[in-house]
Amino acid sequence: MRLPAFDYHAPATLDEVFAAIGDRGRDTQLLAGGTDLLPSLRSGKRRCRQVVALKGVAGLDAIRFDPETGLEIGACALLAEVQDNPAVREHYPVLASAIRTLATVQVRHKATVVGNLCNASPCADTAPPLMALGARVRIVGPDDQHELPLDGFITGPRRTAREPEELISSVLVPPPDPALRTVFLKFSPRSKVDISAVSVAAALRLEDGLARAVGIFLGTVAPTPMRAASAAAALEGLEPTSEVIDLAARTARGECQPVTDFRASKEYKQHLVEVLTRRALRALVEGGA
Amino acid sequence: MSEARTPPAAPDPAARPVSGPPESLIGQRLPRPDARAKVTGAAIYTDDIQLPGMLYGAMLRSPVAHALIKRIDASKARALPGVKCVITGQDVPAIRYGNWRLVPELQDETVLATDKVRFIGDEVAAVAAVDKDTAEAALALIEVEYQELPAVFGVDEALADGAPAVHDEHPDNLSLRRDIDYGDLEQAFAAADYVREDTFTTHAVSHAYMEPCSALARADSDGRITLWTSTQTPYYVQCLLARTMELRENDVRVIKPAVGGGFGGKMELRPWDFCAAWMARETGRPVKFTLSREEELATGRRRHPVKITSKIAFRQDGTILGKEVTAKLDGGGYNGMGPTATFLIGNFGAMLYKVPAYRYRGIYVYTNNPPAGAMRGFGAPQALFAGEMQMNKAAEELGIDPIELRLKNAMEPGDAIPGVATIGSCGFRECLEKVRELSGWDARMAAKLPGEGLGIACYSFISGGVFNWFNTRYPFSSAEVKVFDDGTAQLTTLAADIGQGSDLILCQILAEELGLKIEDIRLVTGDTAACPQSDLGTWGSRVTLMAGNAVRDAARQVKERLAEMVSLKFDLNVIHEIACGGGHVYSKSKPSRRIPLGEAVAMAQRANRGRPLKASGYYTPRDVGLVSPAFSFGAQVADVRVDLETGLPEVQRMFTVHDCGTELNPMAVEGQLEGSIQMSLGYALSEELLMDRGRTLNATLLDYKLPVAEDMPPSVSETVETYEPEGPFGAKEAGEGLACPTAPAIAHAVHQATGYFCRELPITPVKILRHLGREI
Repeated sequence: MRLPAFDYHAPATLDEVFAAIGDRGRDTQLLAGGTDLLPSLRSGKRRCRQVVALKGVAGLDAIRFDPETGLEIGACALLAEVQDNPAVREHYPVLASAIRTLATVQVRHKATVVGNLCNASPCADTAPPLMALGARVRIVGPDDQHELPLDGFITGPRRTAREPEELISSVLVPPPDPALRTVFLKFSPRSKVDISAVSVAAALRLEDGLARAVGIFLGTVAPTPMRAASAAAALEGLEPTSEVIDLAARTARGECQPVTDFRASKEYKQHLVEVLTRRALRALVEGGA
Repeated sequence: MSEARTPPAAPDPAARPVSGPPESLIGQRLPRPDARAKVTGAAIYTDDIQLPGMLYGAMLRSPVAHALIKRIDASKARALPGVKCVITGQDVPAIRYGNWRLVPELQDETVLATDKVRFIGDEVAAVAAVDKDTAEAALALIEVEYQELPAVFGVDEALADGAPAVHDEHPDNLSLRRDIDYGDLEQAFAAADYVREDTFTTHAVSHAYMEPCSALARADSDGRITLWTSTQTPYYVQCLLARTMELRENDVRVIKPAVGGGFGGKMELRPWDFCAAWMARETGRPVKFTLSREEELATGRRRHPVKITSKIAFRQDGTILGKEVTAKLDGGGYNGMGPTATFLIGNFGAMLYKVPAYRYRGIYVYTNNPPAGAMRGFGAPQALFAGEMQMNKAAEELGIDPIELRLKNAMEPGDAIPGVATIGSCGFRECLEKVRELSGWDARMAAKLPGEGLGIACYSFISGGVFNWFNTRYPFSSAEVKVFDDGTAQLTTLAADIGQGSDLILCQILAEELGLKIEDIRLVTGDTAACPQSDLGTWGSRVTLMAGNAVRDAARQVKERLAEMVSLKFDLNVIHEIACGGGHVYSKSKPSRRIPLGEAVAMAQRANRGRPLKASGYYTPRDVGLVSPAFSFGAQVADVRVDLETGLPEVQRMFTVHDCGTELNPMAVEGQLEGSIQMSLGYALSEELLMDRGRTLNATLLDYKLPVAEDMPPSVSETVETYEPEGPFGAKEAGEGLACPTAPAIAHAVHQATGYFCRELPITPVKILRHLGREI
């Protein structure tokens, strides 16, 4: 289908971005990589009167790492750049491994991490691992800026907590915690290069043989990427025996809210949540990094 | 002359025949000359061609599965600035066409719907405009009033009493029947120790060729048409376009640029070919159509879904006594190539094994699904999925190893398929023995592990079709060979390379005959106005055998003239055999008596007042039965591991041993094998056009899951040596048969690994887990 007509702005500074958006935020789409935006404009799933491209805004593509303050991924940083970033590989391997499974080489060289989050798809593969790492998003408006935890930022399919006149300038990941073990597992029943049927990111610390700071996050099994709070609670503070892990996995299965689509049925996705959660937690306990 | 141009350092290529025979090109691993251009984007496909003043076309398609067209009003579309032409079924002759010219009743399509639409996507109108956006905007302005009719979406539903008729001429939705009968079937079943009956269903998949269909037409001021189109069969398109436009065939020139795959999906005249030509004539400007991937997936031809019931009778020792097969094909809204598929499924049901008594009942059923068409293997993937799955189950129940059971019944050279053909070369038994060894079959079957399994399936396939359903009055394949006094040659043929590599193979055959190098051959092809009439195109694995034989026929005539020159020059005894090699024409017994080929050409031309030295060669099968001049065979083993928790089957390795006669170019054969495995992996495990009441739900490559490079398992293959007397240099097909065993081999391995016996393709994790007792 053909791309509908719209005005196109290519600002060079944030001030120009906000000037372009003006009071037409609800009629505006922000363009970073465009791999989700352009197909959805073509198909009519998204509509707008104007597109504001962020690619020309100086500094938005930065990836900064500081051991004291953590990682900052700019709005225009490509998935491939984040995946290959030495600091990401060393300190946040779960993020690099999740990006490795996302789409294809070509798409990863076009699409951005922030775009993946702002597209607010339930199967955004960067969301569960970034949530497991405790990431926050930096939201900039014409007059001020603030931060929100990523967990809660995505409020529904294609909906986020961002106001129409604001933009996400970066995603912030806390400083690396050497004791925090993290893992990301993704499953598609159809191909090794595919959109997830189910994905699981998990994180925990082992302190004196007990699981602490347990986080379990699920992709594709709810209207948004979700925190499996009850499943995490089933493990928190306990010795992660196989019985306890099984209970946490079954809890995750009960907690998720998948729907049947032609990629997989609701029941199969629930089953996969249990299998993948169990595998993820076992991997963490048995020596995951 | 040619010697003067040779750099002094270069060795004399003719030095070699003196010490021994020149090196043969047959069996050489030769890379494709077109590979570099394709990989770097330099190859020119139809959509790459731009002509001055060119307009862009777009098709309006039916949004409903079954309806009468009560009214079409295109006036608003015609009034849109930039729109140059709009046509509907009322504006063009309502001429029925189709590939089955031999039986005109089977030609059931018009290029645009006239009074009725029969599937979602049926072509209703076409627009030509100054750009694509305007053309698409105009589509939205065409008003069509549909009166919806009840529709049918499955074969049993379509055959039920009182079902709505898709075509008024066929109130029962039964387009045609094909029957095959031989032997005493009642006696076979009465004498049997073991009988089993199974029903299998196979699903619709897309060809998913890389290049979507594209057509560009130009009309001369005298009304003659030139059409560039992405096709496997330029000759069919020429004839059928002429018919639908009410022109003489020779007033239509069809040019086939580089084609990015066809797999059977590009062997008919399609509506956009016609609409481009018609609107080019109307407007006086070239018109181009290129389909989107969504159009291809949602409305394009696809592999026939088939419901096959197979009943087979064995003696206790595993000897097959008889077999009865019924097949119901879901044809969708039109016949397309369906009549051929209906017959071939019956053929492939009894081509691998000695079946003394056989009964086949095949029916082609109209539904309101998008029409199916020819697709790689054409009936064989479906027939062999059913047949080979059943063989494996029978082996299990008879307590006979599946390879032993096949060896017991395997076709051998000289075996007859009654009324169809006599098998010429056949290395099937050797394939079975070798694949057993290659895959470590015996050891693995003796020590089975849960979740792991080996599976086997086999195939036989045709090397070109004999039955003349197009009713051509030209040879099936033709070639013209010209030689030049600079020592080069030109091959002109309409044989259609659509990516399979036949251009190289035909040049290789000619170079071998003339003793030249590949780079000495210039190829002129893909143009009905420049190439000899005719070549039926690329389908049925026919090109190497049929066009290859035509090339040899022409080359030999040229060689005879060249041989005369050597005899004359050296005053040779009449018993001397003259050969071509190393760029020379020479006496075989006295190789020093030789002339450079270019010089021999010059001599022959001087002796004939300069008349160019050329010859035409032809091939049309005669007296080789009804189906094919030659049959390939092969056996394949899949090694599969199933994740018993997720249900995911993962193919670890494929082992293939096949008999394609002489391997003319092993690199080309390997390419076919690897492509077959990848395509069949999708057929077995991940690809399926998901339908909901005639609507395709997954019409994007995001959701139609083609296997990608990472999904490919390692593959080990060997060939067995046979020599096919009907084929050029002993060769037969290697392109389609290999597409058949992969799905049943994987399904058998999954059965060994999990107990799940697939009766309904594709094999999915959910089906496996349900078999394992999971309530999902």
